[in-house]
Amino acid sequence: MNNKGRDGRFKGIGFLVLLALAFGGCPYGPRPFIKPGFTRPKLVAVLPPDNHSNSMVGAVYVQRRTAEYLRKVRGWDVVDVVKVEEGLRKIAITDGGQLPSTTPEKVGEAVGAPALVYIELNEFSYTTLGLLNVKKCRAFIRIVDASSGEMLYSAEGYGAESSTAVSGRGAAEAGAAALGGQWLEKAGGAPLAVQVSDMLDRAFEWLP
Amino acid sequence: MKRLVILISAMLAGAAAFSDDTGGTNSNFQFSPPPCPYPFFTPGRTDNKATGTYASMKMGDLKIQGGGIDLLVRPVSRRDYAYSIQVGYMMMQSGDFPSMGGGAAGKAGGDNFMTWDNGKWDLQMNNILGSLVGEYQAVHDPSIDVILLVGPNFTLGWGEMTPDYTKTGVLIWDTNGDGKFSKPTSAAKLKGIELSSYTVGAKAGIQLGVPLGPLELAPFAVLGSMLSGRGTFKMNSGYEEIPSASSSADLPRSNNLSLGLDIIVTPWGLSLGSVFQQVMAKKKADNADIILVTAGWHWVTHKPAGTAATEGNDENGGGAEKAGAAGRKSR
Repeated sequence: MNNKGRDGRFKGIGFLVLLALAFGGCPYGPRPFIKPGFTRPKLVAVLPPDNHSNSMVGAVYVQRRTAEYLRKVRGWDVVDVVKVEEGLRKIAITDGGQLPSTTPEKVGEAVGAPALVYIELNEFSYTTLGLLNVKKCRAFIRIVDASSGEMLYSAEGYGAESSTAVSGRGAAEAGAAALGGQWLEKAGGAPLAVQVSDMLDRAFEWLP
Repeated sequence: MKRLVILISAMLAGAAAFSDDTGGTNSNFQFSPPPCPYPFFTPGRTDNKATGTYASMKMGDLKIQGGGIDLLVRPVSRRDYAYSIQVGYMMMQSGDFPSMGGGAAGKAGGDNFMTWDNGKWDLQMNNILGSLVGEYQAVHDPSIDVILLVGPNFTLGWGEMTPDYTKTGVLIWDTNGDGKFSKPTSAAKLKGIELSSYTVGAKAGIQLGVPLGPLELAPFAVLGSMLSGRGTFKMNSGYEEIPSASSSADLPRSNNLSLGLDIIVTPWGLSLGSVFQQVMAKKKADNADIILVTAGWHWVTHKPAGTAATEGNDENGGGAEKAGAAGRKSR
């Protein structure tokens, strides 16, 4: 190996060591919180997300998938999403962004559940540039005791997948594949299906 | 942490013992995606991926094209365990594969014969590969992940090279001096060369995931070993009095230690190792005209609670509710 190559490798390793020292062990997003002595609530209601993304479809889909996930994968008792919306309408809430204007106690009474799942949907997007194509979903999820407003659990979940290309033709092919996949997912009523699964698995993985 | 050190030491000792067994171990460093691409250990989750590929390569006079399909299924059986089964099939063919030209000469039934081709052979190669990898999540907390991998793999390849006589024909003559061809020209055609091979191997490795804020560092070490393999070469003369020649050879056992690293841009799910591999592949292929079209579909399913193996592994007997805490490892 020549000196130039060796120097380059040492510089690369040095950079990684510095990176590790600066950020080592820092997870992406906030650390999960679990209330000591957490026990599974008897019934939970998954509330409509506080949607910070640009996707309206994404908010509806993420709420439905979260409810399904807790019911099917975790085996929890979950209030039907339609009933949650009906209950919220009684207290004049039609959007997840309005939830901070009222207390968990009132929301719990309206939807008939002792525990509430709040979702802050921060990203739900397809980015198709050809050279870089990204599908991502990121949400911060909290489980709150409705009667006391106490936080029982919180964690951030994310799912992201990229495809890249390094040539003009490659970019055209990767872009076409990304657009085709996006169309198929949307036509099938499951936008970002894998990324939402990844997000939910990450968000709830620390849940006892 | 103590447990982590013990595990890593055990892996390295195992790797060293493995390589001593057969003498030679090649090693290399690669900046590439890690061996476990879906590091999820949610009981009942199954990652499925089907990928179809069409490839065409033109380099000078040589043109090869083909396609294949690759299937991956990765069920998570417990909080710490998953296994992945991967099966792939690839077929490549070329109508213009360059040969040495000339062909074969010999004597059959009192006749001298000589065949030649036009330097262009038809080639068809098929490959099936399969692997089973068991994954054990030894350490999992927000600061670090350690995954150990082990499992067998195999490859099976077969194909045929056939001279293209359609343009040049075959020359046969007798030695009686009557100037007549004693055999029809088609009889002495070299039918082709059959190639086949198989390998059976195993691999064991370790993969780490260290979050660095918006990046994740994923170093890995994988020791791959080709435990058994055989290649067979068979020449079919196509001429009844010329026996087909066949020879086989065992492939030498070999080990390969791959040390690698990937940096993942977490918010985008972007593997810089994958980008680097793409750049290197493009550099290599700069003097070739390559078309590579890949279409894949990745889908995830979850088994309903209670049907996953979570409950059976819960030492506290608390069902799904307690299984997460029971199965979790931390430093």
